[in-house]
Amino acid sequence: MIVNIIQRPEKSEAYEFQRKVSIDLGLRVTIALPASLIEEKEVVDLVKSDSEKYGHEVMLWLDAKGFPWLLSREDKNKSIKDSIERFKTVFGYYPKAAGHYVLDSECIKIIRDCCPEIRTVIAGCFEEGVRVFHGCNNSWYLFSEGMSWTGWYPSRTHSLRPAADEDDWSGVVAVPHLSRDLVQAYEGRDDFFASHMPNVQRGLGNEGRIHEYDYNLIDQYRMQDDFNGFDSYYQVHVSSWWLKGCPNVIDSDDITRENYVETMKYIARLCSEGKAKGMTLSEYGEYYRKNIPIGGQTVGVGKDILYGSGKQYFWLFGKSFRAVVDIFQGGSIGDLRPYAGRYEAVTGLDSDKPLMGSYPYIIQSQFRTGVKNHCCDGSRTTLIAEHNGEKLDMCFYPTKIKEVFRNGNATKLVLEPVVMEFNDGYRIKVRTVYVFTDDGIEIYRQILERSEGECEFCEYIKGCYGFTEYPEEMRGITFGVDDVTQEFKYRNREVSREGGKCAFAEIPQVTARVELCADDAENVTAREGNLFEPYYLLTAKQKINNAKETKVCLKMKKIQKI
Amino acid sequence: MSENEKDTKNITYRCPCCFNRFIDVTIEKDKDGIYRCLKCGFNGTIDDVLNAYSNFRSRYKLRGTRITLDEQRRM
Repeated sequence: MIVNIIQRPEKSEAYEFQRKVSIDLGLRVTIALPASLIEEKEVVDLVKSDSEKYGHEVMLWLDAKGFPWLLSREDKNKSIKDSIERFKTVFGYYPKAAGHYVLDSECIKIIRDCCPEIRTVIAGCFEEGVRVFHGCNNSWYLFSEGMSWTGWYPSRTHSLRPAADEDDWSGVVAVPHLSRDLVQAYEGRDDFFASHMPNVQRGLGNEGRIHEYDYNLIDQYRMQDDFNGFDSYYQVHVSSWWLKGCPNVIDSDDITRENYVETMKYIARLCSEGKAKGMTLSEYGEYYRKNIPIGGQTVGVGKDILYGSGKQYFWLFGKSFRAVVDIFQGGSIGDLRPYAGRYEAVTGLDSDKPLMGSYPYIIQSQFRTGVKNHCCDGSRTTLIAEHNGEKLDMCFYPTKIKEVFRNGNATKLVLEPVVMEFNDGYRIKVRTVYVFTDDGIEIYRQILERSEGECEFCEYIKGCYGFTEYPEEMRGITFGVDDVTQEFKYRNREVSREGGKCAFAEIPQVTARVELCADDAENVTAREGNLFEPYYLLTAKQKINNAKETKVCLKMKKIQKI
Repeated sequence: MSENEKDTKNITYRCPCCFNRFIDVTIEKDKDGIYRCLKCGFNGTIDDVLNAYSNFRSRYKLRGTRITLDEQRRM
């Protein structure tokens, strides 16, 4: 694992404390110098001296005019260019790294155009959006969902979408501003569950000096090395404001600082034992370029390390989509971002969605109902097994990850089998296998055992599109099977075809088409919902007979915007 | 109140009812010593607030458990 410690300098005793901790532990850090402090001689002198003495890297924190991604194009341009030039004047060289909590593709382009020396940026807050907005009393207007939890190559047209190839690439390597828990990032507000010790305290995840979660989260990220052919990345970024009198933290400053120091000591120990490597931000960017090809896949495995639920989530981040498999819900897909659609967006005053930095989803089971609980179900995938008129939904069969295989640009996820038992005693033991490729998601259901008798499988994909938990306008979507197409009118209509090959929905609002393809289906359908059930449903029914395995493919493609 | 929470720094307390849903809503003490939430019906003493925080923590069943890398691999 690679570790990068980011510190933001200021004239304060708390920063002095933080600075001394890293020096005493022999940790090189990335000093994120705020553009707003670049004229503060005392701060700059200290930064220069630390950089020379300890080999720290100085990066530029782009805060000259507030949050850069929310400015007008003109202000983005001016503030970024001015900040970079002032940095050059003060330090005598251009920065190699820059960033803020979020950078949209427009900000990244400005950075690259005016300073090609910048190779690495902090450009997003992994899964910070709806839940953090609500959690902060509806006052934290930062929407950055649908992105990577680790490094990525931002595309030219949406900073959170990974570039598909060299031409599509913005020219920088990006990282999220913090490393966040791969379980809590899906289930809740993940600002509490991050590589930010005082925020763990804010979420009451510690009990005074007992703060095992800080260590456990580091090890969750160390574990990611097992699933990728390259080092995972962990970034600690705690501004010193949190370390003295922070009103959000209920513990005393002594406890806050002790937890901070102990966690940093653990990181230093991992580095000294060769179990982690310290790098600055631009060094990580160089590492990323050398070791990770553009258009490759990254796997993330989240196992619950806080609640003790035993839950697991599997994340796949690739050029065509990002998928989250909810292992507890039978291995259904709980979140799907169709990057293949190459949805284009910038934020800021000149945008038609000025606040919305998130990449849109077509499935999001946390925001959009997921499995039925008091009315209709919402966006999700599942397998429905039918026998003798009875239907069983695989979402209610928790499982575990058995194995993850990587093979070039494909990833295979094998789950532990589940046994579905019907009221008449009929049993069927099914193992789900996913193969994630650049073309889509192949879903295999391997039938390991079954009783005598008939059974039918229905692959079920209920989709929508959106950015938040609220439904968007579905008119404009078309749906159908093979060559039969209908316009979405909220009228519960269905297109169905015996022996059909492909059910689809085209969503021009996010420039994506989603298909459920099955070569040997008995029946394929596509259905529209209504205003109280604003979804499209794609299904493929397959009789099991003597089959040992069924297969469907979920594909995503680009279409034109309305 | 635990020893940790007796610090004299200027802590902003959050309504424990709202926080139960992971929503930060700050509450302040009224002249009668009672904390009242502006967004929900919570009202209580500082002990009520701190006890509620303690209850809140109980959802994190692994908060005091070190889970090493190898243990996480086996989970």
